[in-house]
Amino acid sequence: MSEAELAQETEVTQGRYVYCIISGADEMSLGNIGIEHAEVYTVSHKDIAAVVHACQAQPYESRDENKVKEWILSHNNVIDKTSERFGTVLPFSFDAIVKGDDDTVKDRLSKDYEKLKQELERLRDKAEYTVKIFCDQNRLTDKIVGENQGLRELKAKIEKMPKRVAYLLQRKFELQVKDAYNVMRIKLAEEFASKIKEHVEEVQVEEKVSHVPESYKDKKIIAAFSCLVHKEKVKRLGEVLGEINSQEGYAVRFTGPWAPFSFVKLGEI
Amino acid sequence: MEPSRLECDINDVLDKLLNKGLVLNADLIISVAGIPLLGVNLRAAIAGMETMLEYGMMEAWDKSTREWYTKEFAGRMAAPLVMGEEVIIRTFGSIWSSQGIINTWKPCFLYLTNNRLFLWRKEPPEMLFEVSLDKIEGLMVKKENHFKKEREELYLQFDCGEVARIHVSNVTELKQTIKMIVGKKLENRIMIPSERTPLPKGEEIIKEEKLWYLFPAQGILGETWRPGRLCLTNNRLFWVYRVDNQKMFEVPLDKVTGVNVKAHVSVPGIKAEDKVLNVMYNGGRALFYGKVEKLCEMESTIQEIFPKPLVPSIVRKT
Repeated sequence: MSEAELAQETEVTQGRYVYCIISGADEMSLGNIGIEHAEVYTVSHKDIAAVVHACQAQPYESRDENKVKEWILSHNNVIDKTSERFGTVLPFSFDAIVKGDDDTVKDRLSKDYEKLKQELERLRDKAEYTVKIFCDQNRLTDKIVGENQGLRELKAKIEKMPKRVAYLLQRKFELQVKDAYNVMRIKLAEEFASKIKEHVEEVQVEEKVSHVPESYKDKKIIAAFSCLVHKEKVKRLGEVLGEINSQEGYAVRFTGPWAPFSFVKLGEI
Repeated sequence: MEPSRLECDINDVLDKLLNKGLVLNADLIISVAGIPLLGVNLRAAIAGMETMLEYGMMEAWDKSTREWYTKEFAGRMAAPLVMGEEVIIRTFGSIWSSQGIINTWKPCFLYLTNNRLFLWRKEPPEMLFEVSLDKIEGLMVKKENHFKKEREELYLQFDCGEVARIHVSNVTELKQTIKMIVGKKLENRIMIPSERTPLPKGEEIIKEEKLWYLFPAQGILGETWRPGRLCLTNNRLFWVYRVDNQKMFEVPLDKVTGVNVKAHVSVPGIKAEDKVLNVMYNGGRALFYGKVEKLCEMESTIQEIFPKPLVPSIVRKT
């Protein structure tokens, strides 16, 4: 391999792992806080900068789930640290790698400067909060049955029957309760969303909630929201959620502040 | 209510970092063969196929798989249900099938309807087992060994004493549901017809080991090792072939003249230094092979219970 080819090879295999975009003109090192203790530093263009570390131009991949989780936590840690220091950041998804070196990153920044700057301004002093509302399942079932005449009658009928005859009807009853539950859930979610709406900049209903935390296992999730909240309105939102939380049978999980993962609107840049 | 950042709950973090946040333009994502490798494995595990498809990953693959599936299974027969029959449980399961030398679990779908229980295999279509609920006489859940692990199996007695052996993932639930629907009293204890030949009265097994037996030459077949069980009872020693449960070797204890464990040079199929259990009796010898510890245990048990002193065993190396 000739020297020129070798140089080209090295050039191609260089990459920059991007954590987030911040407001700030200085180029500086943030210490070895990155994935696998990589040195994290800023690359700036005018008054915005990308927070990156130098890496190979290939994605972080592993079959070991714990290792990947560790990487993701490191990524999130960098975002937290930079948010503390520089205010609201535009967070990147895990494993976003720019092929090339610092100059390539600068090129991207200058090309997308207007968009990025505008987005940073829009999200200034705002953070993302996650709200999940749970309800005690038995209570909800009672409520559903209580409000639905058909179900009430079916239940009374089942209770009068001998057990083995009742079995098939019982199944029918359960299925109908499930359907009614879904209708009720949507209704409740809308109610809660409207209560929350006045205290947030933006709210996003999370349709898919893949995970229910251990401590809420006996409860059913009613709704999940991602909210973009101005820092001065967080307290008020907390009060509103506190009211819901104190209602009999309900539990609210209120987490944050997070970087505005759900609200950066640039698509792919 | 104050917002909190529960450090212990990593799932929120994963959800945000994998499904949200900015992504780079496709030409900047390093990809292999057109598939962007954005921690694909974890994203798949957490978000499921749906999100992968949203991202446009594996679309071609998904499409072709679906097409293949539709084509391949279009002709499959649905389970034969009678008019007005209602399925209460449908679950994957298996049934023990014992016919001649074939002893095996046959995988199938189990259907419990309002008037019968049947096990249906889709491909090739076959009704493996079918019983009308009023013919069921008894149900018993029993723990059995299955490939070195214990699991629960359901024994079902029907039609005056016939017994079927069924496995599904939740045996107890199946049993309870059948009981509930049948609605009459069912036997809880079922006599399992033994697949082994019962021993004569007064005889009992002292030790039993899974051992290979060097089967004598027969016709054009030379000597071959066959798997089975060597059983020592209070008056005889016999070996049963695993495949058909037939006794292939049997010798009364008083005919045994000696027993030892040592390497045998002239045995086919095993290494020269491998030890075998050698049982000598009037008119011949039989060789058994297995783990050395098993062989030694068997040997010492035979030595212990033997009615008359045996030819001293050749000293074993320890």
